[in-house]
Amino acid sequence: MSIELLVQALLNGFGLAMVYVLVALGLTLIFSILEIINFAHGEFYMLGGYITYYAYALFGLNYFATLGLAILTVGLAGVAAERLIFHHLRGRALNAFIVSLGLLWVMQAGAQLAFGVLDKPVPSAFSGVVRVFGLVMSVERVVVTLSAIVLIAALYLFLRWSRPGRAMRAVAQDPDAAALQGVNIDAASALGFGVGCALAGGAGGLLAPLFAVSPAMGALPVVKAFIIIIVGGMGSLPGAVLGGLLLGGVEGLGALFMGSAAVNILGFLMVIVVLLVRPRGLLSGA
Amino acid sequence: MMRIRASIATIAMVALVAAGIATRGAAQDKTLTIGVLGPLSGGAASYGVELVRGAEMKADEINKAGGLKVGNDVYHIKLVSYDHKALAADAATAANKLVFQDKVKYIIGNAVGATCNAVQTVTEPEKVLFSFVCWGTNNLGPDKPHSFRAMLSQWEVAEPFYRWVKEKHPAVKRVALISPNDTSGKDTNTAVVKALKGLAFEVAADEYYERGTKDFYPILTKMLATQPDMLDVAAAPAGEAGLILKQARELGFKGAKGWTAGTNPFTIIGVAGKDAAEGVWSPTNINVKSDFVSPTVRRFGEEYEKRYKEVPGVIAVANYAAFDVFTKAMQDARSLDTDKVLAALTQKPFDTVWGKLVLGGKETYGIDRQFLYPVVISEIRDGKVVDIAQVLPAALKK
Amino acid sequence: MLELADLTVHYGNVAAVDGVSVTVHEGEIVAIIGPNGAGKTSTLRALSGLVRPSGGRIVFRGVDISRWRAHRIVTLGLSHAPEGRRLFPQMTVLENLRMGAYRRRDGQAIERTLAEVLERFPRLGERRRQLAGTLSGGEQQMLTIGRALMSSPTLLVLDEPSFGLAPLVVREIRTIVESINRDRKVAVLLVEQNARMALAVAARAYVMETGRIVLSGPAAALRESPHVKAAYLGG
Repeated sequence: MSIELLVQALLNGFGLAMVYVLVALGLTLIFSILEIINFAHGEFYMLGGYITYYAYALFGLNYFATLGLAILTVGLAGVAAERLIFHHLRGRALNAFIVSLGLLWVMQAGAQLAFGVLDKPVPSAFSGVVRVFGLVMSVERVVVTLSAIVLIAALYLFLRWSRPGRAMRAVAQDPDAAALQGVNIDAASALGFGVGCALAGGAGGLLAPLFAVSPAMGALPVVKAFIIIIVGGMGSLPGAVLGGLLLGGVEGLGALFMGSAAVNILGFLMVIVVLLVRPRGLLSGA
Repeated sequence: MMRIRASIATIAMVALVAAGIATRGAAQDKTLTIGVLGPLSGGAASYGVELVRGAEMKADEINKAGGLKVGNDVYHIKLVSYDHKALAADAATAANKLVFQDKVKYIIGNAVGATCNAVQTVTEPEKVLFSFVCWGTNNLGPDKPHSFRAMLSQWEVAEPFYRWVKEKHPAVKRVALISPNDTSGKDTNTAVVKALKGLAFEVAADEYYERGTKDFYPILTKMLATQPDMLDVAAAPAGEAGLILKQARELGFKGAKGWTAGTNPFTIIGVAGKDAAEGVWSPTNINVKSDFVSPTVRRFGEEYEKRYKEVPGVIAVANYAAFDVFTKAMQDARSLDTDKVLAALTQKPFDTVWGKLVLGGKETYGIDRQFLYPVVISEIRDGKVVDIAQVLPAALKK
Repeated sequence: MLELADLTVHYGNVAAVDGVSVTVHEGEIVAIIGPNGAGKTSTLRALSGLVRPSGGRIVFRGVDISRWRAHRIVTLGLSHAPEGRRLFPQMTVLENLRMGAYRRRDGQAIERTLAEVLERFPRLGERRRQLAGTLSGGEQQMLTIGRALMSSPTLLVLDEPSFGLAPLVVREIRTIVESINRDRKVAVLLVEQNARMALAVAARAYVMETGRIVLSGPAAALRESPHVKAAYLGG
């Protein structure tokens, strides 16, 4: 087996990992602020995919403008979901969990009725491939990965330096103390849910041209996101990036050595090992 | 809070009712309920949709003509369809519902191999006549006398297809195969590998992926490292086959492309993109608009397109034909009793949309339950599906 | 400037605070002492809007804030340093302090307040880039007070600032509280189990037991009360 093949396999794995990190960051952000595990997260990803389909593939809007539109629209949908549903379940984690499962179902059934059950292809925004030292990656994937990295960096800067970002971090670490400093918990929660969903929507928009869109498309990224969060550590941004790279690397190499059918098991195997060795994830934090 | 719960419940109810209305017709005095199963959502949804539409077209034809005359009774046909999402567990549940709750004696339509096995655990003991387009080898057999395959499978198609490849494209020597990791995928690859070896091709790769996979870079990297001349996305459904071809092209693959189970090649053009789909050969498809199909199939295609605004693939035609054969057998038997209908079914060929339809397959499966009709090989040229050859399955040559 | 009138707080059917009336005048240090579980913390949580009172009135600077929520009350100049420090452990010292000024928009004035706070707590200045979760107990308490000062309050509410600290550190905290009161004319409402310290700092004090005020008066007088002596000052 040549070195090139090994490196290509790793590259394949890392290639889309950053997009799944985006999905994972949304999940973990929502959990940190609202203590809700949003099982309908993949459906917000799906929504981002369909917005891309309609705005970009059908209406012909610019690719990046479409991405912005997907992020914004899905973010607003997230804010609405928080205000209309999850706001009323604060502090009742079990109820919120059940309702999020219901929301998953309603959104999927709704998508089937509204958009139809068949896969809808979204044409590639970029053609051609990048070749370096015998390694291959399509321009499309390079753009998608770079966009995901930009969004991750934007999230980091937003949380780190912006006023609402600091408010969200404060609420995640201690809601009462945050309220005493003057943070409006309701607003921070709605915004946190919205930003979390916006990340999922952005991820859906990024992958739509690669994978086509369908009502059930949210399941796969959410499973990956859960693996990334558990491995990387709940509530940690660097942990999610690390978890994403690990998952990508393991999947890329696993496909080479074990066949792709066995690869899905590897992710879960990694989860079990991490849970045994470091139950709170590799880099846990708030 | 209560108000919100109530509104979610309302939406759910509306969704349920709407789904119900979509598949149930109005009832008359004497009603014959016929079941249709299939994946109606997920990556293989196109199969299920075509099954339902094929059945719907025939059922409506019969109902419009005043119903189905069986003996002295006239029946209005009512279809009940359930979505099993290509999952065996869901298929078993759906089959139970059809047989024990809806009291169905005929299930005409199902796809994806593993789900057929699940359905057969219900239909065979209950003597329910079951027709499907699943490609599982063991879906037909002497122990399953009530089961019929309405579409040619890999066993009928692979050998004539690759014989044609060898004749017309002698440069192709090494073939790489990829299929979903389940019964239908394994059966397909097995049949194709057997045909390849019989025709002295080299099998460069024989790979499986999990259904639902979107990123094929990892597995393709491994496959393309074996330097195949031809890539066969054997049993992959349209959505996934399209992604494989698109990503193979991105990774630099420039060889020949085949889709042994490519039931409707047109559907992959959108997903794969025009360039990646260009040149794909498929022996399972029929182009309802080409000169290689009978005028009756062409007419069916026109009707279908008028009604659903889409061009039908082979599955729609096959299920339409199966529905036709089964209902004709009921008339011949002058009874709805499945034993009598089974006897009538196996007695003689039927005139169908395919022309004279022969039941064969004994040499492969040990029992004649396979619908046989000519194989048409098509190629995607310039974003269109063009039929380029007609070959006969070995069994039909006799 | 602050008047709690007949305040009650219920958790379910249990009254944690049962008809409490407390007054704090401008620039005054007032203490509430009492045993663990007397309802002192619940009183403060109602005062700063973290729980909604089930009865009574809270009037601060002439405004009835009984039904206000916490994030609005801060803007009136009431700052609450809660029990158990309640810092943001994953934020640096500096970030914690800046969170204290969350509702203020006057950039330059915030920087002035920050400079003042760092001058008052030199040790926080030394550790400004350190995560709050890694500070010692005394440093954490100072950061809690410092953070509360960042909103530039007119009333500082301190809940158990001496809890769990060494005697030397307690004395330091006491000096700081006195100097804040003196230099900035900030009124202080101090809740303490450490009655000796509280009665030494405060001008007036209330004794709270099982949800009610049982004694009140000038701190000097309470120090001489036989009940306070027996129950809180160790005879």
